[in-house]
Amino acid sequence: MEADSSSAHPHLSFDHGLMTVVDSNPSAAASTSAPPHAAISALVSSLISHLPITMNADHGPLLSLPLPTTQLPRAKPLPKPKPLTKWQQFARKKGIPEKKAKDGKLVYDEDTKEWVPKWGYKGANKKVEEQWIHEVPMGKEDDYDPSKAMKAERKKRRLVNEGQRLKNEARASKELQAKNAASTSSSAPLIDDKAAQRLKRKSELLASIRQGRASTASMGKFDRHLEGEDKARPKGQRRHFESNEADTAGERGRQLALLKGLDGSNKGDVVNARKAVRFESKGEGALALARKRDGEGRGGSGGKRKR
Amino acid sequence: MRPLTDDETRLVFSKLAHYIGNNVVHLVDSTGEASSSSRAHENDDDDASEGKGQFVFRLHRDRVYYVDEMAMKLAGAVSREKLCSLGTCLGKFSKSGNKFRLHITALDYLSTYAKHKVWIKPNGELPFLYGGHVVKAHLGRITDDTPEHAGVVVLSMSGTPLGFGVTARSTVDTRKLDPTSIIVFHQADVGEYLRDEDTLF
Repeated sequence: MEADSSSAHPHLSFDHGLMTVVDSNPSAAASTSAPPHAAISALVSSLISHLPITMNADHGPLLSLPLPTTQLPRAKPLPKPKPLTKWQQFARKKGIPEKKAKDGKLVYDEDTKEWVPKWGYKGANKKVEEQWIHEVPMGKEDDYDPSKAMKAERKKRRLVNEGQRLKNEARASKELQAKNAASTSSSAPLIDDKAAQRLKRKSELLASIRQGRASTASMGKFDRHLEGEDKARPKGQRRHFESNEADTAGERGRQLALLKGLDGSNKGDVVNARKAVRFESKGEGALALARKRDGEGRGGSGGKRKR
Repeated sequence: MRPLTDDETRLVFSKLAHYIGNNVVHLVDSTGEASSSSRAHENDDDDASEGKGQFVFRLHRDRVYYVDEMAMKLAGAVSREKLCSLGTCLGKFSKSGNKFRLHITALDYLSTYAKHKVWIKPNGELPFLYGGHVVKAHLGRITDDTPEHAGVVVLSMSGTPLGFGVTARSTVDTRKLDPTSIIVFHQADVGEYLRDEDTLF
């Protein structure tokens, strides 16, 4: 914005590229109803005096406007620097300069003297593959198809490249996340991270495998071992049985004691509360029984009896 | 072959107690006399003092065997796959191990110590031996005060044990029934020695 310090209007500044005039006088803001005739005429006279005039056949004298000088603020923040891909890291380390900008999709074909697309429909990358005749090298089996082989190779190359791209992307996102976590110093758990998730899942799977292996009667001792699995280490006490031949007298004593318990001598001590309540309340339940008792306590008045 | 655990012992004893009640004590701590065998003559001198002739319960492949100690120790020398049977097979546990079923092979001991007995007429023997239930028409005698759903031993009129079962009605109610109604549900009979000889031992 050029400040017009030389002329009669030092408070005006002009942007010839946008054809705008800014009045920095505070009193100008007060009178908004009337159009600023003085400022506009000053702008026009400034345009005419400063800019070159050319004569055009159709339209007459024309002013050629320069580029605008007003600095507009950014609508969006500056993009953050992307993490380098694996090739870029290597190139920097080795000092390999970056290739120039790609020259678009078309490439000049010397044989047909035409511009053909580099890849895609009728692309030059398939030229050798789609030849009408192929020379088969020595030592290939009878059903060797050169064009099929080349096509398979091309597809494989594409897949490899795709894999590398995905890996670069994954690495970049991980780095960005780490950077964000470091900058904001938040304590967000890394469970969101895919690698940590995978580790957690793997440990869960191993634990369940171990548990399933031991869930047999012999606690996994006689199962067939699979390659790659760690050997079954059964933990915990298996069922404990008394010795067969020894101490039959002790065994007999224990059985007699058990018999004593079985014949109902303990029945008098233990009260089956559920049955007692059912008997007392005549099937109506504990609440009804309590209510009945309360009703009797109060003299029988008040309190509904549930039928 | 191994001794029974406490839970298994409880199951076996409660099943036996259905039929012989408190006489299970005699099975546990005795010389294992059976009424029909001649074993009563042997080992009379040194029974309880030295523990000889004492009978024990052993479990082998889901089956419970009632065997005397000497035989049990000798059977310990036989490997597990080769050991078929030892002593008397009382019954077997179900696959899940929480139910015990008495076999007909236990009849000897059940009939010796039975609390409730049912005698059936000659014309009722065959239906029972073929696996049918006992109907009132075939009933000869029944012990007094037999409650409903009690374990009973079924005998012929001459006193030979034929099998065992569970009463459908108590003695008192049996008098009111008509002749074609069932009074004893069949559980096992000696005909099973022929029918189930593969699975009995």
